Amino acid sequence: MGIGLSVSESSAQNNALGDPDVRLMLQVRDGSAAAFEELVLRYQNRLVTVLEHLVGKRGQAEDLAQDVFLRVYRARERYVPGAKFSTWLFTIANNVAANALRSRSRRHEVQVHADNDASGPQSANPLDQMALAGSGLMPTRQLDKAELREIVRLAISTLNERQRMAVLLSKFEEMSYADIAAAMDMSPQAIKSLLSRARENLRSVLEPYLDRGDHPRRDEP
Amino acid sequence: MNAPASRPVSSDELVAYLDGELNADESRRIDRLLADDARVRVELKRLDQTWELLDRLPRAEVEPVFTRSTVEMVAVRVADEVEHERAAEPSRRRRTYWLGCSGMLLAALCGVWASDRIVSDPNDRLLEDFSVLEHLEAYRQTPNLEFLREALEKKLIALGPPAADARSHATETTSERRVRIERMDPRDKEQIVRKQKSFAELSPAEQARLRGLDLQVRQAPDANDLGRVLERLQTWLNQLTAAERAHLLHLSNPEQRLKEIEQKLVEEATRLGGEDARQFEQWCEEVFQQRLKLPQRKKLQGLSAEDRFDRLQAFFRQSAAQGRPVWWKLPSPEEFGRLRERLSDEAKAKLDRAQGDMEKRQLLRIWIQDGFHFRPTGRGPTASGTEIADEQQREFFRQLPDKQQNNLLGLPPEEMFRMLKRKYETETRRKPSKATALTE
Repeated sequence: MGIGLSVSESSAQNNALGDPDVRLMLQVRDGSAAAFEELVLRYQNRLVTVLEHLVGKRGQAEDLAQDVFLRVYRARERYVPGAKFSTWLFTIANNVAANALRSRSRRHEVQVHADNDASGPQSANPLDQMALAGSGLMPTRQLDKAELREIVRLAISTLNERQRMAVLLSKFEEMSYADIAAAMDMSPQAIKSLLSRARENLRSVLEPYLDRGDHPRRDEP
Repeated sequence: MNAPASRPVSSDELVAYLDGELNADESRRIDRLLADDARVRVELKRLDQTWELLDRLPRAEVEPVFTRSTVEMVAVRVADEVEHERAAEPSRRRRTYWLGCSGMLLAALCGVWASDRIVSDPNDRLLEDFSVLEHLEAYRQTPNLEFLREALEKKLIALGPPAADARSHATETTSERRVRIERMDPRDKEQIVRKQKSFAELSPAEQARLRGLDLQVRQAPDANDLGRVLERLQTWLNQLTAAERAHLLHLSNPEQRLKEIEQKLVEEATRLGGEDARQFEQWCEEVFQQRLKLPQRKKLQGLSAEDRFDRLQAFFRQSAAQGRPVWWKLPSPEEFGRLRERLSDEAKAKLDRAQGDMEKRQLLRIWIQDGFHFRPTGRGPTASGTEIADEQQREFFRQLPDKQQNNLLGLPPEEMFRMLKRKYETETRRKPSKATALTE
């Protein structure tokens, strides 16, 4: 899917103009650097959050986020308001992340994993140590907050790339199926199935751990 | 028509139900199933529980410097691309070729000069580059000597009194410099070493350009004044926002850059502050509301001050975008008179200096752009519509982790306060109780 959305319906354009971020993007199109900076400020954390959980590394997520903003700026002159700005932005993010993950797999790097690189703020508690520390025999043991966070992160990493993106857009961006479909160039029906499978997968990974303390296993590439 | 509840429910449907993506009929069917069938209730609860666990995933918060580096990176990359495209134009190809050749030649000459003078000892290398390193950031932001001289001749920046030892630094010998380095404060030495590392990461051509520029400045008859312009310009640039700075620094034409700096300085000198800005805002509301169409004017009635501001801001932006900015049709002398009455003596003087229609338009443009166009949140310093009191800001700052405090302190002052306010604003939205605690 290209990054310049072309929408013929004037109603879609009118709706989009109700989005303050679309109005900012139109100012960027007209050459306002201040409006661009404002968009970066508004979206940088959201974008890095999604990308970090998608690629598994904070440093790479920040690099990719910068690449997304660069593409937004490059595309400014072709920008036509046809959807919510966030949908357009995450369409670009989806393409950028997919390219990055493809390049990574071509380089035979390790599949996305939950532990951050050293620059990330949540680099404590290596999973192996946690697996050793966790008692598999205590069904309802009290989970340490950091441990639970790592478990959830690991569960997310077991999803395939598309499921992960759909889950992140749904959970963090609270996007509708229609918006996720637009961002991922799929049909809303396909997103419905994708999210359903993703939730089933998450449940199958997380429930045993919550019930019995069984540690989820990462899929090998 | 109600959908029958008897059909078994699929996982897709349950998930869509949780996500609020079913239509009314489908939702009612699931409601009935949930009421009738305990297994469906358990299934739904399990799906929901694991979904809720995703709230445990951390949300990223980038360092304040990320915004600045992103905007600057984008500006550099786009400027490079524009330059690249321009170089590809056939009509300019020859000139570009010669410009490129002369640039490379200059770089090569400087490189030769540098390599001749630099011996293998790393301390000697530090000594040789010391003058460049002392002004590294300023040199990086300066396209060439002519730019500095033009800025000096135009008296763009007030130079202030010269530093007592500036001249001697410009002409000091290597042995004098060695003594000065030896006597430096350890923290200053550390800073120079950091700069040396940054310098080493530059391309050989850029290193050569900076060495050449430094040599030109130091050998110029007016070296002292040029050095002061260099430093003052850098200080001024660092006070700008990242976007403003990036815009100026990536104007490839030095003349154009000087022109825009000059214009910005004029605008700075004419800006309104504090109470004057508020008075101007109110006056704008009274005067420019009259230019709205009747239905638009009616819509403004009964709105809160913030919403009125937003509407007016939208009107100003729209009129400017359509090429008919509101300042083009000047307010009447009486209306200007009413504005004058409200302003401080200093602001009155600024208004009085604008004599002709063009000057008045220019002044209105600056004040309106400053007050309305470049306040994207539309409500003063915070989007929530409330000024953050100094004490609140200080308290909020004190509560930040050390790393975040240090990152903020590393920014230019204006940017630091802007980031701090934004951070406060984000926290206010995320944790109302924390913000309330701060205001109590």
